Amino acid sequence: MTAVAAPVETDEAVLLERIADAGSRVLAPHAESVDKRGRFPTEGVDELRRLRLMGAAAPVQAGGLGLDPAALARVGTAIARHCGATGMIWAMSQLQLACLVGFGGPAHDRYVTDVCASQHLIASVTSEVSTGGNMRRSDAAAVPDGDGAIAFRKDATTVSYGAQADSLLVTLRRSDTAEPTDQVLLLARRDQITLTPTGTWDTLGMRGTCSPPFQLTGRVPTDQLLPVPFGDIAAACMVPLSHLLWAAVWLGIAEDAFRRATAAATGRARRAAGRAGGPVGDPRLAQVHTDLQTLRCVVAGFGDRYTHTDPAGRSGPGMAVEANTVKLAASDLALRVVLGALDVCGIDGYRETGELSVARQLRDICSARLMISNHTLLTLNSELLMLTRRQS
Amino acid sequence: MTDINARATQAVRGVLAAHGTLHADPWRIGTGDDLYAAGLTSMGSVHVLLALEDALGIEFPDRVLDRALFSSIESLTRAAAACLHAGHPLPVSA
Repeated sequence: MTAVAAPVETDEAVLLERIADAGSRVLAPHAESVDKRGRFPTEGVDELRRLRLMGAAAPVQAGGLGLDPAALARVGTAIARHCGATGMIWAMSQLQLACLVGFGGPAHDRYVTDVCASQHLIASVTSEVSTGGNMRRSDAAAVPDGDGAIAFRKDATTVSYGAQADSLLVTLRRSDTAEPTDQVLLLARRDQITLTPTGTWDTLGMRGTCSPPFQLTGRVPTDQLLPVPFGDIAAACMVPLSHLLWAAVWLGIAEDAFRRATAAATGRARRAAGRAGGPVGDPRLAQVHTDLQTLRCVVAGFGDRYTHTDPAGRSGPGMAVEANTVKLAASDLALRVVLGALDVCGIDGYRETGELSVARQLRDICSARLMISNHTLLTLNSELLMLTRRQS
Repeated sequence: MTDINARATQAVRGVLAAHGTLHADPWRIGTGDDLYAAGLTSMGSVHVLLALEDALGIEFPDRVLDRALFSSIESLTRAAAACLHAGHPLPVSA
């Protein structure tokens, strides 16, 4: 591969500053049309590419930014402050990239270099019509197809930005005789597959993620199968890191709503300042802030813990319980922050447009409780807690 | 700029008189006198800030909002005049 032409900025503080600039200049101004039309946030994603952020989770030697999970979370929050859909798309792509970096073979190492050089977007195909949202079961199988290739066909319930992705990571049964839980993860480049949408993505929120159901068929060289069983990748990376990065994105959305609530409360106090009695505070703003600060602690705490846990120790049930708890807490807290912000902003918050609107943020944050439903995670955690009862 | 300075000084003293909770008469104290020593509390400074923004139709940028801003009539006037000069208008919807 040729080296990246532009010098790569890897300093986090500089990156966050540049994201803030790109966010207010490009992401935020387009967020409304992305949401309204349910279209892919091309302008925002192009800005992230310009900042080389599509390679954020890849090592510097591969042309990436070499950010650790905690830093990835902070970047996700910074992006989502301006557009939740753009933040979520970026976070999901980094998650896939992290799986390739951590668990790939030589073919994947080569591809990671391509991702950084060409700023590829990587999608995930874990859901399946016949198994629902349970990522740890597959019906579709990897079938040997001669010449060192495997063929597959999968009906997925949702594939976020599937139509815009440069490559996809697909979960499959190891073979057509394997158990549904005996899964592998396959890297498929866009030109190796046929992707047919079988429905639409016309949803309450997160409309810009463009996540309709798709049918995929493909024929892919066998060396594009990740050499590690999918169960190991899910336990050590895909589950905990997805919960961290999703929570970070929800934090960004909550911060956006809080900023608007602060502006609304300040505006009211300012107008009251000219009248008898003087300005008064709005205790609801302080309550929203309390929830926001708690959310920040939840995300930062898990970011540090996951980052500083040796990769070998990341796959135990303790980490799973903790990651699930972070997802549960963050989805609740973020919703409370945005709902509280709506109370503070009042009717201007309820409007779909304007500086004090939190309508898009509220619709977007409702997805948090459903991205792996909180009900499923509570059930799972209640069982895992019996396994980890001595530590939890 | 002189007009702006005069307007800002007038507004600062007026707002301090209405919201500053000072022991001394805000119309008579020196521009360099320590407002905290004169009785300005942190809650009082919030009220002064909001009333000043309302009176002048400006919004102070976050970076100038620190304890030093409220330390004297001079520093408040300088910051308010800079806002008036640079045109940091209040957000329309706020």
